[in-house]
Amino acid sequence: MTVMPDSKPKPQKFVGRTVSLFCPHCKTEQQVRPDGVSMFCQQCHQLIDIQEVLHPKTKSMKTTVKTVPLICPSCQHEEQVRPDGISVFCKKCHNAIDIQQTLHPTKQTEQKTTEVKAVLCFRCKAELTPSINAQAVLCKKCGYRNDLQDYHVKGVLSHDIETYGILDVPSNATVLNATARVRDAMIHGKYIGKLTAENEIVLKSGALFEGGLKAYSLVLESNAQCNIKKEFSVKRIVIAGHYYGNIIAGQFVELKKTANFVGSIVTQNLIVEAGASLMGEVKVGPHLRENAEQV
Amino acid sequence: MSSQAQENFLNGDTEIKGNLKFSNALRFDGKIEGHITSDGRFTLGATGEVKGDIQVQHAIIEGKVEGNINAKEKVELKANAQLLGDVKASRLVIEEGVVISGKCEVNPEGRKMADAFSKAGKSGSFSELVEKK
Repeated sequence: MTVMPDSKPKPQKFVGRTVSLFCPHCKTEQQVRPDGVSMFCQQCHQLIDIQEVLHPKTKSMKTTVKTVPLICPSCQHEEQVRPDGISVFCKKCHNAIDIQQTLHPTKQTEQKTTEVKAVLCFRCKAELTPSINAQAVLCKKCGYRNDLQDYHVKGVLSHDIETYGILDVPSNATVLNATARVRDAMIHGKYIGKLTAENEIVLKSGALFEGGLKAYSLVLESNAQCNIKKEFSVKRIVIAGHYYGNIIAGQFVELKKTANFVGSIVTQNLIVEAGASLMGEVKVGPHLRENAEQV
Repeated sequence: MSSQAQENFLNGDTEIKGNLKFSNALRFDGKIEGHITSDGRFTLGATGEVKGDIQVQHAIIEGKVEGNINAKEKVELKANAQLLGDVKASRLVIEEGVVISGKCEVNPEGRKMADAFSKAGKSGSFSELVEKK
């Protein structure tokens, strides 16, 4: 009868450097590979973390963490927390504590306040409160996109604009046959069309305006020219340049000494400086309030 | 009327029905129904009332005028003045609070600018004015 040799491969002997290691549990000496991760003690059969036993400094470094005292805002119990922590449960009242807000309350509150401005939707007039730095805002009621950015015209502009920002037309630019609805307008160049401003329109020296105009305030600087052909509705007007057209201003009209005015004026208050030129019909008085405000 | 350089004065008790003519300066606080003519300065006080035309060199109005004012030099309408009529002068000063209803023809730089402006308005564009400049 022939005996077959054992088919299982014989275990290979480790040929390499070993180091002595004392089991942290039973203190018996073990021979381990220095690059080993873990092993079971041959005496007590406990699991030994080789690297932790061989290099105990690393372990102690890991466990040392800087903590700061934190007072629970609910029960005033003192907790020791990591300064870079996010949140922790109070061991006494079990309430969640926002670590950063409790440690640095001023910074947190400052970050949370954002400045907003109030505008009305162009389409449905719903009140909107976008951030001051926002470029546009969607109406929550009708979904209309309300533009908030400023426009600086370069060259010739022929399309309509609707924004709660500022319209700036430099001296070498032209707005031609366009309808603009803005918050404020600063015109240095030429504007032919219809312009509506929520706040103020300023026609700078050298500016040329022809068309319809609607705003709360209009300022016409010296050497600016304004020819009103269509509707005109402004509450406060200061004219130092050339104006041709009729004025129906709710509150106030002032003609500076360099003003040249041809047209009619209907307003509550009129101030004319010596030197102004005025040709046309004038109706001024507080009794005109109703007529003027209807515009 | 006195021909002295000092301003003459008619107080609020004065009532005149007829035309008034004077030289130099006059301050009037009463009531007059008639025309006022002078080459000097006319001042209508706050209590003064004029129903008629005023044709003077310089007019300072603080009261009420129902008529036209024609001044060679200057018309000043002070606060609370009331004017129901036309104004024609080289220079016009209107303070806040004045009540006016009428036509104004004031052109301190002469009629050139006003005429050119009117022409431009009729033609429908500013091109004429701009090119001429």
